[in-house]
Amino acid sequence: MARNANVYATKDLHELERELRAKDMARVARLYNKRGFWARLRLLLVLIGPGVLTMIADNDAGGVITYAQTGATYGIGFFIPSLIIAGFIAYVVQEMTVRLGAVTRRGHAEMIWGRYGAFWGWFSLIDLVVANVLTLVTEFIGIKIGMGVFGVPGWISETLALAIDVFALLVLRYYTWERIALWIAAGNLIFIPLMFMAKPHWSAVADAFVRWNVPGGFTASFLFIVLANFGTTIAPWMLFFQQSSVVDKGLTERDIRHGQLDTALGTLAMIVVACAIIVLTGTVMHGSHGMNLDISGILNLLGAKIGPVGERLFALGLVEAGLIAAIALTASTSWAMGEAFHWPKSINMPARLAWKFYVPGIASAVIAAGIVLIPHAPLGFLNMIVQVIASIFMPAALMFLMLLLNDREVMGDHVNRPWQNISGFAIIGLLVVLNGLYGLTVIFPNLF
Amino acid sequence: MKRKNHAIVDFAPKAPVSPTEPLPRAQVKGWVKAVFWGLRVYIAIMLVLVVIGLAKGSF
Repeated sequence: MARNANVYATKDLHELERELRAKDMARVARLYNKRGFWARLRLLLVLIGPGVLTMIADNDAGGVITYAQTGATYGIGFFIPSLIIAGFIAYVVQEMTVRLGAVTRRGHAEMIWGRYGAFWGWFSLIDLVVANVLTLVTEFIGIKIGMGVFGVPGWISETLALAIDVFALLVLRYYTWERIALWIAAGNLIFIPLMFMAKPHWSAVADAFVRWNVPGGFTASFLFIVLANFGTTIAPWMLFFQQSSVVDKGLTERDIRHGQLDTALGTLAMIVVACAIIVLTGTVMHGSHGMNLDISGILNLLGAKIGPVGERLFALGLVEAGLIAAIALTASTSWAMGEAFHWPKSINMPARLAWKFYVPGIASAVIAAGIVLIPHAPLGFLNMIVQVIASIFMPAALMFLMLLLNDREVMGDHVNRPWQNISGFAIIGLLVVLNGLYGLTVIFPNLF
Repeated sequence: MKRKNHAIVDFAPKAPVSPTEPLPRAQVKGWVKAVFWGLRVYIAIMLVLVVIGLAKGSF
């Protein structure tokens, strides 16, 4: 009897989840029925969100540090053009999650679990959750270092970031949560004025596109930085996050074109910001000898080269990058767990009714913030493990995406077109080759 | 409001498999089966490389 009552309660919660989402869908439907330029613009602004949020959150604290180190080490020669290619890759991959989410109205974890069974479901879920927790650690490190520039003690900055993250997830409805996250994401653009403060040589930037060469030849460390840059541009959590966002927002087949535009805008913003960081550090740091290229060293050098305002703006950018990614990763963990275990899985749900959905995400953020505060925690090792897990998991995650996007039974007429399949499988091939080469350099360090 | 929302959701495009229905398990055969084997081999190779990397202290 008690079991029946529980089942009935869960059914009720799923019904409530659909009702709450229907309110957002009703607002979009009303906007579709209106005519005129302003109504169309309003519709676009309402539907924009998952793509921009995913792409900007991908320029996270770890990403900002990677781009800064890349510019400082290799200048702007190779990586500015390669980021354009990385942007194309990110768009191709993320656009598929829009179609998959809008057509099936189910998250990525639910699709893998439902279509390919518990083994691959568990494989994906464990990889995702472990990678999310470890990536969250890097976000909280970024926040701690960034706030440290303003003299804020680590425990205060971690507690504040955690409080904002948890408050947004627990208290707000999806649409408000998304809007607030988008405003925070706008802070990522801070790197663009910073780039201008460095007074870059635009002829050198243009030259990078004409003479696209590998600086210093093809070495193991170059391969590592290429992998780090690609790993920063496309990551497994992005697939899960954007698809779950699309589903929780209530987007349907009718909204796919807006979702594609949203993803394109997000890609553009992501690449412009990434290029700005590389141009910034490539201009003021590349060629300096004997410099310390950890993030504290980069902040100090920026302070010395473009002044304390530049250092503080970069620190603010680092805090913003960590915070927006923490918000996205926390939600991604909750959504994936909810989808895998068929719990109510919407940010619209009241916390007291859907606590199972909220607990995994919040627990992941608390654990990550706690690890950062442990004295002498092996943070560098943890960062490396994140990259290793992401390297192994990403081709697998992409393979599931490609299988699902070719599955006419669930996608109907929205299956991949030939160019999308060619691009998708080429991306998987590229990742497998890069990961394999990196693996070989681990065994044979003098291979290149 | 509740009834109105239901009406709007009903007019929304239909998913090939209704989101409220259980998802049918995919038939893994042909090229999809080959893909899964490729995935298993890739994961096994990468795990071996990770173990070697850890043993050699490369991380």
